[in-house]
Amino acid sequence: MEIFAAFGGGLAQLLSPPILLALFGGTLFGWIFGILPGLGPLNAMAIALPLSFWWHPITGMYFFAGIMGAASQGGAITSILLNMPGTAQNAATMFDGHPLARQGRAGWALGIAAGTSVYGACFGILVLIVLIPVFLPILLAFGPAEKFWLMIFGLMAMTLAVQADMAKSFVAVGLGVLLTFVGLGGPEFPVERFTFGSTYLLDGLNLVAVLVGLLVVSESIAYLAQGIKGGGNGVRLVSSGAEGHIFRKELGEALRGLLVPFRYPACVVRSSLIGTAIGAVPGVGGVVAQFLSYDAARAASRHPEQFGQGSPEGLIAAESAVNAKEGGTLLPTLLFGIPGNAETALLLGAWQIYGIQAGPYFLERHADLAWALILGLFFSNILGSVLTVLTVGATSWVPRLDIRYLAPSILVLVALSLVALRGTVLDLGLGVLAGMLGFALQRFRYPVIGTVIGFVLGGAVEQNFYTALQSSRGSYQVFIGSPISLSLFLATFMVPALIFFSRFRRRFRGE
Amino acid sequence: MRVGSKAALTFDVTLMALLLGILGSAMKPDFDGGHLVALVAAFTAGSLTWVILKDYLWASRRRAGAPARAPSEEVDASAPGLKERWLAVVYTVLMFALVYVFGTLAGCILFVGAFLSLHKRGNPWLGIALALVVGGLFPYVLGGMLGLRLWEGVIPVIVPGWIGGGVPAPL
Repeated sequence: MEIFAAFGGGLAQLLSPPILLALFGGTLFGWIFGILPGLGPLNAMAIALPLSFWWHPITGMYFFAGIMGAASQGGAITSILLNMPGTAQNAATMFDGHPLARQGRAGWALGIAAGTSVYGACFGILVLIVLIPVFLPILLAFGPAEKFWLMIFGLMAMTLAVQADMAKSFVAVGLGVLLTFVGLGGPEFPVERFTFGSTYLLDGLNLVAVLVGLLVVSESIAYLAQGIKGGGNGVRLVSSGAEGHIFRKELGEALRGLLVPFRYPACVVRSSLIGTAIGAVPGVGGVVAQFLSYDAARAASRHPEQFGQGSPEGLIAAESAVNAKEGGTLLPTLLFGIPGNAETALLLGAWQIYGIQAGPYFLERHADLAWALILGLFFSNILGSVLTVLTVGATSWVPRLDIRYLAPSILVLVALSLVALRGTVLDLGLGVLAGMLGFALQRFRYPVIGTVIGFVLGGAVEQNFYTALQSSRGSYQVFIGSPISLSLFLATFMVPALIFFSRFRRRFRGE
Repeated sequence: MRVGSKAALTFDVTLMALLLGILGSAMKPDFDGGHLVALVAAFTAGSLTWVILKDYLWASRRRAGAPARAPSEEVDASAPGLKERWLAVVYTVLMFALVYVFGTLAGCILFVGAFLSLHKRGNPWLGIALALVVGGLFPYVLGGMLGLRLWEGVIPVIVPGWIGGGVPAPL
């Protein structure tokens, strides 16, 4: 199989200096963003996305894989040291990580987190490699109608998975898809749609500007508002009283912590399995994986009373899941071109920048890129663990930065990224508008991630829709003509109907 | 944060007006952009109708004095208020305006400096240093060392290649 034939080439790439630099750079970048509370791999990737335009695609993939692999390890540091999750998916790490730090075992806890991250990530990647040849023959049976329904099903799964009102999720996704209709397009000869005579809009809304706006600018506006409210005094992401007396350099303890997961093999495997499976479902993030895994570990533990008091099992369960999920999220992305989460949605954005088509044929045509991601993820987890352990003495100060320094700095980075994208300031204007939209959506509890994924997939949804119609000479029967398309069609409507009915019945019964 | 029913309804109605505008354009006989646009707009408008009905019903119950609270409503005294949120939006737009007029380098320095001088008490030199480092050094590194093309601003040329270009961005 071609994908595995390219494995040797993928490994050989790692010996080249630019690739190594990209891997180290991405790992460090993602790790730092993971440490800063409120930021995370998404912000890191969004800022790096416009810059990646000038890189070779393979280099870009290693950089992004570095970010994805290391960010959650950075997040674990602040969860353990300061009881504040560096990224949302590290929330459950606080439950047992910080109590350990308070007991004077911060280094040991960081070592456990670092070690577990590697083992969990390896599990997820192994599952990914094993499942690729299983799914690949099925993918070749996918035509435009099947791909259309698969993407619609992916969007549906995402709306059901996010913790938001279902109707609002549909609105958010619909908005994202509608944004892709701006510019030249249409079923036959391309016509101007919603350009209002502007030449800037003829090419459509720039993917990177919109994604960065929705995800990063909106968050920065929220931070600015927080900073303005803070008044003249320091407004820190972490409340004062970062307990310096708790934290001391414990490199030896951290190294001993790396071996602790081997004492709980069942916990590691179970949690990694949960993380991988949850990661493979589009739209469901590491937060869900982490909590599900934590609950399962507590239920299976011989000492459930220790959970929340500094149980190494609890810490292992949380960290295994969140790192194993990365392999899981790559599964729908590599196989079907459906983003598993917001980070892989940005990855698809990067592929579009490089002119690479996502979808069922991606693995056949771009096996080298796939291996760049897989190997990059694997090695970045190892590098991230090394960083975490080696910097055990020095990382506590970062989350205590005043938010009024942080927020404008991020906006400046965004401005640089967007202005440098195509050399036009209008991309920055578009990013700011998208940011305002994202901020408003967040404010009124619409899931911004729905708009992001709708925007990333909208163009492909339209393309496959009209291609399928053209292949059937205008007959809509093509959308239910094959077993795969019929199954996906039924799943798309039956699954939300069942869930809606079940929620309605629970509410009716007063549960 | 308390999600005010009036603000939520206003946002929903504004969004609905936008969607109906798109739907109206897409349903015109001379629209050649494909019927998928109308389909997606109609679906989104239908979902939004349901959202508006729920928000309106909840708002009515509040006016009637019922102690009902919206399912997603939380109370957080430390969260920014309406004034802070609007100011934050204004600052973000201001950043764009400063970059547009004065160019990336000068615009970023002015933005960071303005925000810190207005909202950060304490050592002013720290604010100035940060404005120069974040607002000035980053653009210089990216533009000068990595060779990325940065926007120079619409004002007449002051520092060639950095501040002032004299040509408005074509819309």
